[in-house]
Amino acid sequence: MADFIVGAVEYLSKFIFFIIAVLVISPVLTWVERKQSAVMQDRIGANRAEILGLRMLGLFHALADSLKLFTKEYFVPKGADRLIFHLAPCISIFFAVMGFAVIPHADTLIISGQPVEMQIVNLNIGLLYFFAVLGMAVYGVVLGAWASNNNYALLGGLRASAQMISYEVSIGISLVGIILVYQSVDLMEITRAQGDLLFGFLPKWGIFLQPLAFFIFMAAGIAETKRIPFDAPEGESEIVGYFIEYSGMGFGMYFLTDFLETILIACLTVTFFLGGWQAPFIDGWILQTFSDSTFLGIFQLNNFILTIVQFLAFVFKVCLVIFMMMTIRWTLPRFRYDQIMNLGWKMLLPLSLFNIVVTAIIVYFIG
Amino acid sequence: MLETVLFFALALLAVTAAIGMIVHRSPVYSVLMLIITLFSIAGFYVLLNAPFVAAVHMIVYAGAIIVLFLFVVMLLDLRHESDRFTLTKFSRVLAFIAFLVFLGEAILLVKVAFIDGGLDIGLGGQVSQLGDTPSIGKLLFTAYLLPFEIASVLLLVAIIGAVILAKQNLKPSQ
Amino acid sequence: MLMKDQLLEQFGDAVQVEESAVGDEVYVVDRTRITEVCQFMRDQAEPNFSILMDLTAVDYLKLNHKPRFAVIYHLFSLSNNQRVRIKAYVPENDPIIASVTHLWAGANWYEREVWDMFGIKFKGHPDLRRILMYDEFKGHPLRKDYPFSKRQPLVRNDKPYIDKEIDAYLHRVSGSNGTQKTIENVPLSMQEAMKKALSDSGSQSETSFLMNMGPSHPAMHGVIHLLLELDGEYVKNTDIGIGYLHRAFEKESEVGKWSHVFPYTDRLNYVSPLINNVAYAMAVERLLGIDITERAKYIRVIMSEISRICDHLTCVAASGMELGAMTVFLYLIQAREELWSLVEEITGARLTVSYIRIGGVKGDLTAGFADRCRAALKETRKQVGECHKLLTRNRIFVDRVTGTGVVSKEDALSYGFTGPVLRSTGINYDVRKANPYLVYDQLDFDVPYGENGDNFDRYLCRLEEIEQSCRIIEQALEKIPKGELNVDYEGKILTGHQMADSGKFGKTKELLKSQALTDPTLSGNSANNRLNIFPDNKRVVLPAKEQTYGSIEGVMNHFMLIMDGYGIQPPPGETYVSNEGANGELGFFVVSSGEDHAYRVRCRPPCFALMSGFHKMLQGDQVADIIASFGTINMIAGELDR
Repeated sequence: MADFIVGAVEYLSKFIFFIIAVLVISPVLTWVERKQSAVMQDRIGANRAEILGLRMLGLFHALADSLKLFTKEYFVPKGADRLIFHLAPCISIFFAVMGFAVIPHADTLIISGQPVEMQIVNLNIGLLYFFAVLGMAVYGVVLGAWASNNNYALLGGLRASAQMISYEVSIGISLVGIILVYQSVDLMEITRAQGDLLFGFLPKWGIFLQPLAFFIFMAAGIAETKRIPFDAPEGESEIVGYFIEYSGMGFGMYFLTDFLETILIACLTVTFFLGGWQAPFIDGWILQTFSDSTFLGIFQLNNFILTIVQFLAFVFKVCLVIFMMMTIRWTLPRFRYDQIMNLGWKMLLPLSLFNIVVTAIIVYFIG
Repeated sequence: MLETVLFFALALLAVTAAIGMIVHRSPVYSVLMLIITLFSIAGFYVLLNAPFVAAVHMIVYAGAIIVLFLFVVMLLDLRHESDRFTLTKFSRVLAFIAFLVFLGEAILLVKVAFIDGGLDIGLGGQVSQLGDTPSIGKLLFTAYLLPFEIASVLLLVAIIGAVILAKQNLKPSQ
Repeated sequence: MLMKDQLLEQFGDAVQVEESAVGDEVYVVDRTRITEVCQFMRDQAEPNFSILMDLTAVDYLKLNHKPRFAVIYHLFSLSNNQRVRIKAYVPENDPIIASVTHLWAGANWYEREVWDMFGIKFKGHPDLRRILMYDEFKGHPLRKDYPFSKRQPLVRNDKPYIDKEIDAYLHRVSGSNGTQKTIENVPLSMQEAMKKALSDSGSQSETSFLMNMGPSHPAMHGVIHLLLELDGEYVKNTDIGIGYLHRAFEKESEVGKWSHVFPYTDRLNYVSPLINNVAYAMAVERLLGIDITERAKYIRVIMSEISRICDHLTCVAASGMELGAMTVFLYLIQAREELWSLVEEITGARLTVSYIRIGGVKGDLTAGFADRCRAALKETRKQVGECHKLLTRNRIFVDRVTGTGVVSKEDALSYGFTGPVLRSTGINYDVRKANPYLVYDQLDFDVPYGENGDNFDRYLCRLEEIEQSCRIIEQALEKIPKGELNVDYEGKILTGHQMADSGKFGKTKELLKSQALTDPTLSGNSANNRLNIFPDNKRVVLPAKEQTYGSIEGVMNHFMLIMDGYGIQPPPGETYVSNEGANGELGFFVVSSGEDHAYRVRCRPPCFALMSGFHKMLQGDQVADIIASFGTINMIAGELDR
């Protein structure tokens, strides 16, 4: 029973920490996006929200936006299917949050001699779990679109479902290469396997072993988040999007899902291709420099510092990927629906199949 | 203990949702019920210590096939057309035959499980690790290679058939 | 053989030559033979007149002319840039004339507008319904006996308006199939309307459905309404509804004095208002038969080209934004900002400039304008270069705009397209080259044209026209004859925008102290500046302030121009003058009765013809392409609906 309680406390604390982190980061990301686009477009960007004269570069806009969304009227259009209309944004956000459960944030932390995995749940099918969750994400969009009783929303929903299914195929097949190289579907194992060095200087990261898969995964990943250039389901100037009838927090939840998915795809990119929490070159140095003496009563000093550094490395890499995704977003125009389909089925899919074949041959001969 | 509770909870959910799927007038709701059923079945797989099967089940059925169902339902916009699904005499007969078949299967299953004391499918000691990803992979490429390949060819044929059927409707100008 | 001889030979008595005081070529045709004459002009005449530039009507009620109405056709020949006006008189008791829709598809909307405004029916018109006014409107507003002050507020009954549109659409669809039927039950939703359409019309397949785009839609800028019949993502049919921004421009122009029309022209194409100013001023000047000073011509050219650049920048920027390239939008708008600052400096306003005057311009260029203008052009070129990097070489963008919104040469001519849209199809027609006005014949510039008539060609045409306009402005700045600079009351050089700003912020005390020396100001011009920008013509130009205040002749002159019933009075006559607007030929057909206000002002907006053929461009494209096509057309509701 004691084990059960310890385990429950462990999971619960990880879960709460993670939920708070994600729900704080997402609104902040709206601010980041606004500021970054402003820098790219030669303007000032959000800077008006202030609390007691404090403006913090417009950081309070995130807060103001959330407050606004919460206090706005949640309007249900005439002829809408009320139950599904209310349910759809929840489904959407639920699966986006679920995706984070298997992301490893750092190596094992030792507390009072007990190893604690820096991952909410350690599933040995982590990668497949992620696919399953990704596959569910489309329901929030499609059901919301259908329940709105609006032709624009319906078009958006149709586009979204076709697009997401198409690109899941590419995502899945591009990651088969990763499975072949690292011989595991457990995200923790995959990350650990990226800790070695290639030829003594190059980290054995996915981007170096599977460069083609990296590009396919990034492209398909952005398509999954339905952001520019793949934002045909929203297409704000054409069909306004599957959430056209949503107001207030209903819209807010779709909006949040958008950013959550961005973070999720960035996390996965980092985990599969950029060495996850690995901090190459300095991890060995940290282990050597600091002793394994007890710290704060329950931690080991070197293990503790290493975990912090790894966590920071992970966050840094994720930020980098998000920055890249946003740069893409503010540079490219939108694809048309048939171009998206062509790219997915005629470019990315054959390329990822080709990648598997090549990888399999190399892995077979090298071992 | 926990497993038993979970099993019965999931079983109740699965059966209820399945009945709901059949009974509900709106096709979209039927599809939703079907998803819930699939979810609970995935739960069974997890309980049986086969997370791989559970995940694949979710990916393939809930993630892809049912989305296509929804796609079609939405495209046809059957919202106000639930009346179209009235039973004809012929479909009543078909339904009765299907009912008899399933009844027979159910009786057989109950007999095997409770009277014969389980069925030996010839896997011996491997059963306990069967849900494991590597062991499933190994089995598929050794003992079950032929069925696996036949299934792939079947799927390929289905894909080609789908493409040809779709192409027929395209006008030459497109 | 001259046109006149050809027509007389072919039709004898049915055609008469009308003398025009200003040298337009005008023929009066018997209304029963109008289609024959038009067909002859289009196909057999030498040169043949392939474009119906404008079709309108005049109500001669107040001139006591019998028959009361005249339908006016403006034809244009591409081969030798000749313009011909054909008039067909229509009596009041039987206001009907044969339609020329089968000759020029563009006549469709023009004839609808004439029906809407004058109540003249067109026999053989496929779809004669109101276009600018709403369906419930009673009467025909441009008739002279329709009182100017009469108001008809649009009162809706409980039936939702949108359903009515669908009703009308279904009615037309079923009507064209020969199964005339009335629709009693109002459809409850789009889906039901769709089903009705499916069952009613054999032309529709199982999968098509109706969707409204606009009038309230993020991409339908301006206000426009597309009723789309979609087959999945593909557009099968489009019905375009306009008139949401109708402001009775033509009716109001008949009420104020001749010079009072300028502020209204600002609001036609509000993205390039200066070009509209120029076009109207040119029309009135042609009626008056006056020639303006060389410097004023150069100023007009410079301001027109600045406006053209602004217009193209806005168009490319907006279409980029609608395709998701927000950054391009902001880059180009930044360039436009520089140019608008110039406009503000010269005219005192950014958008509603009213800068051009009959006989000249409001004020002279400010000191140092040339340098600032060159700097702004440099910035423009830089930002256009950025746009080339971000879009022209972008695979996504190129794929999206190539081969979409295609219009063929034949369609473009038939619908009377002009401007970049016509040129993108490979027909190199530009009024600045075809009928050079102002000083365009003295400036060296090229007219870019495309070959495919798709969105990409239109986009490239516009970007290249920006470059050509830059060249024009640079040459004009070199060549412009020198004139006096503008000074403030202390003799200090002052820029226009400084004045405008101090006026705006309530610091007008110093402005009031200025003794008629400051230009441009609301107080008027001083004599030394006026010589450069106004002709010495007492019939049209207000005298300089020191003359007004200093001499009896000046006061008399001022008085005669300002007082009601006097003012600028062009001799009776009619003329059509066009210039190259940013979107194509912007024409003004003005009729003077010799009074101090216009008898009729007809504006031929380039967008109107473009929009009447827009559905052709959309056919077979996808929903997403509507946005791209609509963007590169650059429809401006202000001039479309007037």
